[in-house]
Amino acid sequence: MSSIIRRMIALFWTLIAGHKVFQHPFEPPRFLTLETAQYYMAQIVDPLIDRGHFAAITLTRNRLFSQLLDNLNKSAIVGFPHTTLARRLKTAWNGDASQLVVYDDVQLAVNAYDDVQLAVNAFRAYCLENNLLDFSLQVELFCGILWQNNTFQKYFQTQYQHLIYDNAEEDPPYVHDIVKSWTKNLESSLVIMDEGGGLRSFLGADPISASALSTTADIALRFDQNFVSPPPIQAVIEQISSTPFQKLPLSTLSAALLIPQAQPRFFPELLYNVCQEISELVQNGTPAHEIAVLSPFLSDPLVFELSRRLGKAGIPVQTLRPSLALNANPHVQTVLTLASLAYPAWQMPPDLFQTQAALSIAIPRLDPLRSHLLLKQAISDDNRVTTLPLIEDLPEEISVRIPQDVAHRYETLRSWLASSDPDEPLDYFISRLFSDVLSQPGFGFAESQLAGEDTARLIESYQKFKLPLSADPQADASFLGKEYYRSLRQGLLSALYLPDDEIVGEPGVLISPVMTFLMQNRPVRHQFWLNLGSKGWYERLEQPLTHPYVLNRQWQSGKKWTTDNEVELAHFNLQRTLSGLLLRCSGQVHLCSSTYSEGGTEERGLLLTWAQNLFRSALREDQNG
Amino acid sequence: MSEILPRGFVFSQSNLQAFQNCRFSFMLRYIRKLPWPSPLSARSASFELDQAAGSMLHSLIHQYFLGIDAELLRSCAEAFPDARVSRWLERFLASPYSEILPNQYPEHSQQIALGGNLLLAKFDLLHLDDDAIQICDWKTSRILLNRVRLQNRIQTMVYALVAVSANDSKTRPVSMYYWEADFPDNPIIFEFSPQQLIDFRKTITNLIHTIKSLSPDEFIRTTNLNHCSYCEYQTYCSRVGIPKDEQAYQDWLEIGLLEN
Ligand code: SF4
Repeated sequence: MSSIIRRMIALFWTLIAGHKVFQHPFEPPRFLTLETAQYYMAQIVDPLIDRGHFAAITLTRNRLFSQLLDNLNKSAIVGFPHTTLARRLKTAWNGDASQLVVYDDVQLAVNAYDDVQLAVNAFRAYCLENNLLDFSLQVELFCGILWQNNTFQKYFQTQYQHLIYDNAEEDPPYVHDIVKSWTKNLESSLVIMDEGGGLRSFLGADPISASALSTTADIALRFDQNFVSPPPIQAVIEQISSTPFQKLPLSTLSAALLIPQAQPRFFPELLYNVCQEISELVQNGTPAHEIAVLSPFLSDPLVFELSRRLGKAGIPVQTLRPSLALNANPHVQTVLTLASLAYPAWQMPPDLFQTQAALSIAIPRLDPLRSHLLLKQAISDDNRVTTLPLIEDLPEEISVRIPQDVAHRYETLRSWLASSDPDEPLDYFISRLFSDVLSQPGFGFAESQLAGEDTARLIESYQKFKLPLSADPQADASFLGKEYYRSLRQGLLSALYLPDDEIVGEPGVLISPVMTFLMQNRPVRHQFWLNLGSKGWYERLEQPLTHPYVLNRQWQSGKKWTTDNEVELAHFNLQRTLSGLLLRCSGQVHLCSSTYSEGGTEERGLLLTWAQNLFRSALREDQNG
Repeated sequence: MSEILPRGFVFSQSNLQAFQNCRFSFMLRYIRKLPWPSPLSARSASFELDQAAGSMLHSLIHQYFLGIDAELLRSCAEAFPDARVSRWLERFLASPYSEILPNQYPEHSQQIALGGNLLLAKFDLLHLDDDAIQICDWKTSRILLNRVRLQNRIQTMVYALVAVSANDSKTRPVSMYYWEADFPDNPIIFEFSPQQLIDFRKTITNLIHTIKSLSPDEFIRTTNLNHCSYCEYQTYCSRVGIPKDEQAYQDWLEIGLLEN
C-alpha cells in the first residue's frame, strides 16, 4: 500500500495543492525516505537537545530520531491526531520509572513525553513549510484528502476491477479501512488472512482490525486443516496453545523435537555440530533446500561461519542478501575517504588509519605498512590527513621502499584528487573517480564486479539523499556532499537497504532470521533453531519513547501498560512464533543450544524453559509409565 | 530456446530498444540486473534535467485527462523549477490534442501475448473511438525527430501492434501521433495500413525470437559506439562512446523515462 500511496500522491499532487495544506502548495512534493526523514528530524531535535530537552535519555541519536518518527507513523496508520501522542503515552505509563530504564526519575520520564510532543509538532510544521513528506504525512494526505476526492475516486476505481489482498493481518488498520471502502466498488475481492499472524505488530500490524474485514464479506471461509506438519509436530502445536500445561509422550516429543545427546559448551562447537548434522541429512537424501537454520537475529559472523562450513562440505546455502552497510563496506569507505580528501571544505579530513586502509584498497600493491610510512609525513597533530603527500617530497629512505609501479599509481591518484573540482557534485565525483582511476588496470576496483556494484549503490544512496535536500536554494553541491558524509558518519545512513528480504544464492540450506522465514511462508522438512536463550524469540524492542501496543487501535484509552502486560505479551509472542514455525515444518525441529551463547553468556530464557519442561515432564511420565 | 530470461519476462518498447541498441546492455540491464556507476558529467546534468522536466509534463497532461482543473495544473507548472514545463503545458493546452473526448485512456498500459511471449505498451494517451484507434505520444526532444527514423522505431511498432491486438481493431484504422512539446506545430502522424501492421508483428516476433534463442555469450557488445555514449556500462565495457550523438541521447532518455 505504501508504494501505491506514494505514486498516487505524486500523480495527484495538484489536487492536494488545491487544499493549501502546505506553505508552498504548488511547488513539487519532496518525498522522504526513512533516512532523509531522520536527517530532517535531526535538524529539529539537535537544537532541542542543545537547549536541554531529552536530557534524561540515554539513546543513540538515530534511535531517538527513529522512535520520534515511529510515533508520527503510528498516529497516521492507526488514525489519531499526532498532537495527542504525549497524552496517550503518559496515560498508559504506570509511573514506574524503573520500567523505563532510560529515566532517572518519574518527572524526567513525564518530561520526555512532552519533549516527544514538542519534537514531532516542530517536525510536522517544518514539513508543511517545506513540502517534505515523511511516511506519516503521506498516509494522512492519502486518507484525508485523496481518498475523499471524487476525481481521485473516479480514477482509482476505474484502474482495478478485482482485488486479491493477502496477508491482511500484517497490515496496519488504515489499510483495512481503505480496503473496506474500496471493495464496495469492485466486481470481486478476495481477502486472505492468517489467524496466527500479526508478526509485524511492533510495526503497527493489526490482526484484529484485519479480521473485522470478514464481517463485510458475502462469504467467509475458514481453513484449519494442516497439510504440512506430521502428527508429532501437530501434537506440539496443540501443546503450545493448551492451558494448563499439557504433557506429551516422550515418543511423540522425540519424533518432533530433536535435542543433541550432549550439549556443547561453546557456540563455535555448536555450529560445528549443526553443520555435521546438516551434512548427514543431505548425505541421507534430504534436499538442501528442505533445511532451514533459524535464529531471532543473525550476526554476520554466524552467517559467514555457517556458509563457509556448509560450502566446504559442498552444500549450497541461501541467505538474505545483506544490506550494504555503508559504514563497513570497504569499497564505500575507500571512495568516501578519498572524497573527504578531495573536498577540504567539508572540514572532515580522514584519520591516518582510515586513509591508510583506503589507499591499500585503492592501490592493492600499496600495503598498509608502506601507506602508513607514506602518510606519516603528512598527518596533522590530531592524527588527521588533510592532503596526500607528494612522493618526491618524501625522505629518500621512505621513497626507496615504494616500488616504482606503486609510486606511479599513487601519484596518479594523488594528482587526480588534487585537481578535482571542489564544487563538483559528489555523485559526479564518485563516478569519475571510479571510471578515471579506481577501475583502471592496477587499481583496486579493476575487474571487480562487486566494487562496481557497491560504487553504483553508493551513488544511488547519495542521489536518494540529495533528492529532497537539493530543492533548497542554499543547498549547493558542496553542502549536499558534506551533509551526506556527515550523516553517514553520524550513523543516520547506516545501511543501504536492498529490495525487501531478497534471498540470494542457489536453492540450498536457508539461513534466515526467524521473522523473515515466517513471512516467507515456505515450509521445510528440517528446522535448526539457534540462540534458544535469546530474548529475541519473544521480547519486544526496547523503545522508551514510543509504544506499539499503546499507540494501537485495540488499546483501551485510559488503561495502564503494566509489567503483567509485558510478561503476557512475551508469552503470547513466543507462542505465536513457535506455532508459526511448527506450522511450517514438515519433518523435525532441531533444538540447538550450547552452555554459553553466541554472545558468551549462559543460555536461559522462556524458550529454553518451555523445551526443558516439556522434555522433563515427558521423561518423568515415561519412567513412571 | 534460451533459459536465461527471467521467468515471466515481459517484453516492452524500452527493453527491445535496449536490445536493438546493444545486446550486451540488454544482458546486463534486464537479465543480470547489474547496478553499475554511470558516467556522470556536465552533459548528464542536462540529461537529468530533461528527464525531470519530461516526466513532469507527462504527469501534468495525465492529470489534465483525469479531469483536474487546468488552472491548478498551470500553477504547478509555474512553480516547477524548470521553466520549460510551463511553456510546454501552455502549448499542449492550446493544441488540438488537449480536446477531452469520451473513451480516452491516459497513461494506459496494455499487454498482449505474442507467440507465447508477453508484450507490453505504455501509452501516453489511447483513444478508443468506435471507428478508429488513436495513440498519442508526448515528446520533449531537443531536436525534431526524423519521420523515417520514428516510423522504424521499436516504439512505433510495439504501440501499433499492441493497440491493434488488445482492442480487437481489425476493422478500425489505427493511427499514432507524436507530439513534440518544443515543435507543437509539427506533429508526426502515422496511419498504419494492414500490411504495415503485419510487418510490425513479424519484426517484433523475430526480434523476441532472436533474444530468446541467444546463448549468454551471444549477447555481444555493439560495434556502433554511438550507442555507448549514454550507456551506464561504459566503464564495465571500457568504452567511452561518441559524445553528442543526439539519437543515442534520445534513446536512453526515453528508456529512462519509461522505466521510471
Ligand atoms: S557501453 Fe556500449 S557496448 Fe557496453 S553495454 Fe553499453 S552500449 Fe553496450
